Amino acid sequence: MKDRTCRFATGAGWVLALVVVVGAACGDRQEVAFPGRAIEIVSWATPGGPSDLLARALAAEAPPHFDGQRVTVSTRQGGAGAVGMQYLTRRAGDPHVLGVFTASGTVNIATGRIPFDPGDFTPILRIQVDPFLVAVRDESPFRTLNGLFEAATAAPGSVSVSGFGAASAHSLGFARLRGAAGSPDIRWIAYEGSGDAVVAALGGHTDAVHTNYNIVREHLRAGTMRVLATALPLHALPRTPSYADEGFDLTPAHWRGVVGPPDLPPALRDDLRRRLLATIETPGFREYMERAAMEYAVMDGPESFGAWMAGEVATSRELLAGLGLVGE
Amino acid sequence: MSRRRGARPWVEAGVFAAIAALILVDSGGYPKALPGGGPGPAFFPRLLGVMLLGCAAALVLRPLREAAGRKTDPKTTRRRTGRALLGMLWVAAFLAGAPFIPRLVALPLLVGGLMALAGERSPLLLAAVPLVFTALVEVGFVTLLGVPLP
Amino acid sequence: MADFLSGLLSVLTPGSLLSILAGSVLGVFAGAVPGLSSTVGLALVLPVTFALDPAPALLMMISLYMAAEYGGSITAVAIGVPGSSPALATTFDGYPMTRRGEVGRALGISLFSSMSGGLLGTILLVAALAPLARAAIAFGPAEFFGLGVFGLAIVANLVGKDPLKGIVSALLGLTAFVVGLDVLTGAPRLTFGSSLLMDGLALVPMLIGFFAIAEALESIASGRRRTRRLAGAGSGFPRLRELLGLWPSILRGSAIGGLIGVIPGAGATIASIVAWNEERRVAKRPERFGQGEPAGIAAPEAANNACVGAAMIPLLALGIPGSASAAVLLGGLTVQGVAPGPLLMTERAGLVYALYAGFFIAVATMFAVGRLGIPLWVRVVAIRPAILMPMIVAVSLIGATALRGNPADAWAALFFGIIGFALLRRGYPLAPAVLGLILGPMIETNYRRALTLSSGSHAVFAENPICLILLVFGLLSFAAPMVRNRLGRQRATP
Repeated sequence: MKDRTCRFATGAGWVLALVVVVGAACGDRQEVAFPGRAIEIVSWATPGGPSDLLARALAAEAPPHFDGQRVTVSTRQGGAGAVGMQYLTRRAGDPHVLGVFTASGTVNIATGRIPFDPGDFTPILRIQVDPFLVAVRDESPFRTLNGLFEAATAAPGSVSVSGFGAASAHSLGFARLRGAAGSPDIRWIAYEGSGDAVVAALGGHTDAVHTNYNIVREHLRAGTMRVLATALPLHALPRTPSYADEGFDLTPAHWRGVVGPPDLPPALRDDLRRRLLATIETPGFREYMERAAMEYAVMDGPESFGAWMAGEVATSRELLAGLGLVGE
Repeated sequence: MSRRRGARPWVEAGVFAAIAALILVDSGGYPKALPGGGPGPAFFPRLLGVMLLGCAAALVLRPLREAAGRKTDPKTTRRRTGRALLGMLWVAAFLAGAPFIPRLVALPLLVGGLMALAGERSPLLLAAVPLVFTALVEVGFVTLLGVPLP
Repeated sequence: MADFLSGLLSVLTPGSLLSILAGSVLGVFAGAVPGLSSTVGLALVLPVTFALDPAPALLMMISLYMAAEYGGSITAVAIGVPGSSPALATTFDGYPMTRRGEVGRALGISLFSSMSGGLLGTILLVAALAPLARAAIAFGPAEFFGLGVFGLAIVANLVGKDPLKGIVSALLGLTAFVVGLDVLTGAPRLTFGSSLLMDGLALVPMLIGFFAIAEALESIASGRRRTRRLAGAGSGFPRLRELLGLWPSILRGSAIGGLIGVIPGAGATIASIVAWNEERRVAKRPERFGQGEPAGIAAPEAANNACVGAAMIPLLALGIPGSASAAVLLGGLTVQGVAPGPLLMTERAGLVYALYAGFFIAVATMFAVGRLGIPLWVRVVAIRPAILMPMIVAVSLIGATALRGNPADAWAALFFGIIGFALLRRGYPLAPAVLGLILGPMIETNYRRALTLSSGSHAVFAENPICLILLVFGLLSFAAPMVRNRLGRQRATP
């Protein structure tokens, strides 16, 4: 019984302490100074996945550039990103809450799956691209991207390509490539994750996989897979042709950046942009970029990132309509 | 004999049939088929809907066996099902209120309310258990583990 | 061997051992709390591992993963609520044993089997990394379809007295799976325009709803205030002889866990249910299963811990995460600059051997942590349901929200709680619905994938030997109990 009383007293103490802390935090909100408290980076992606890792790398490197404030990552999954986006839009004007926005976000907006628009957020900084590529397993008869398309044209329906999702950034990236090649009849076999799609190609269940460089990097190094072409020329793969080298004038890529809640005053937005730019130049962040096999693709003009996102939504919407996949 | 007639599961069969109908109606709006000959997104839900309809029909049409799993006295069952309903509403109220009411208030209310509904009468326990529990959750989840709570 | 010893030496540092201990304690906790799972636990320690060196960071994560698989069985055995989904099969026989007053015995069997399964899974990992990785990628859409059907056939052994009600329950579970975006076309199904339903209904809210909330509502409705029997002969830890006597079940369970765990995307939940079913099939008196049969605890617990080692095989050899937890581990590895894949074994041999050695120490630590905890759990069981169940409900709701940070998951848990309560009251078993939700995606998506690849020809399923075998066995195991039932009834009433 004594034990219980003791625990109760401790509990009451905690409750009191928390009330004080919460009260203090609420009081802070009136202050104008930024950063006045801990920064929260919202991620609506799977823990451990590339977007989550970007958020965590930012959180690890940011504090010195945010006056020593703590930077935390909160995972708010659900509704194809709608849960996290809603959380962000409810913090209008608060520079202490940021979100990691990706190509999947603009595609999901284009499909009408989520009731938001790039204009609902304050675009701050595009940081990286995660280039797409087409790879085959070592035993595959295909040597070039055009060889794959020719085989599909010669025998419609005989060639399959696996990749992440349907009406996803990955499937649309491939749809653009296929369209540029004259839309041969290639079966897109959607998988729940990029790793599963790679397994399908490795096991010979599909002829090729359309995915990101970081997913197949080790298989390329080991020689268990070969890359036919990459969307952008990659410094890690100097001898691999890009889509442009193969005669396709497009550079589809998965990209990730940081957005803020709506209605951030321009001065605060520029302040955030400067601090984040300093963060992604730190040696620690560079090391993360190298390890995760990402390419810097900074887009930081005050308007350019936002306009570009709106353009991405429009392009995706056209592609989806062409594929008959767009929701109303 | 009247117990036997009551055992015909009209209500649940109706619910299952309604779910089946919902599936069949909703699947009418799915894209037709995959390019290339595979079955479309409506194939599997429709199969489920038809099977569920079949099962609902079988539930009411099959010959009655000895009623299984009805050992409780119907009178008390009824009164306490009302309590269970209250329990559902209490949890729903907690979830609805969670974004607005501080956790330190809502959590003890949830636990205490459910305890009272479950028949706990000792006022000391009704007060102490929810508070100690909330304190433990605060310390364990929030402070030590950093679980993000709404 | 020399490599292994040097790996062992590199693990025997205070920092590494402390990481393993911390991982084990957190793992048992994350596993035991309904709603939290190894995945959530790993995601929570991920930021902590950033500050550590690669070896301690990985050791903390694998020991957490391992211990969580045992932790899940604690709540499954003690209160009938699976602490995490792989412990679902453990409730079938673990909880009845507790109700007999043998909670210590049940937990002891679970812990010993978890340890043995964990060891055997690790041996599999060390001995057969490359060949098993090659076998794993051979699993294509047709094979997955076969495995899904084979798994769903287990419903026949979970239906209880009334097969029709069991089938309805399975159909409802399959319907729950349909909710969300169709993987193959991206079309929303049964979402009724709500973006909250886009990501579908997750397994954890269903487990919480069915087993924690429905059970709490049931205890409210029945108004029982009685305490569970405690002072039975089996409230203490079981004798070594009993545990060793379970070796055939543990071996079978570990083999099933090892095989299914290697296949990316299959998972520990399926493995442990298949293991339970297999144990029941080979048993001399299958009717005892579900009544508190020791083998019914040993096999699934051995299976889900064997899965941990096995799930590392595609992760380490191919760089492909085979489960949600392995995906978080992959993130942790990436941050540490360790790129798993075909070259890992040659380029980072030292780290891999340290990992192997760490696995063995993690299994031992899990046993010690688990063993120390058993007296505590025996006391927890003694708490009146009227006090215990409300706390379980509250913790589960918090856990359900922590899973994805999505408040809709807590609502889904309540929804499933109400459905589960209603189904239980009308005599419907709930386990088939859970099986339906788990296996629905494996069956439907791969069926359609296989047909897309074959341009609509069903011959793919017949021409694929693994798929064919799984389908035939599935059909037999589905029909067998029903046939036996019918024959038995005919004999009983000539």
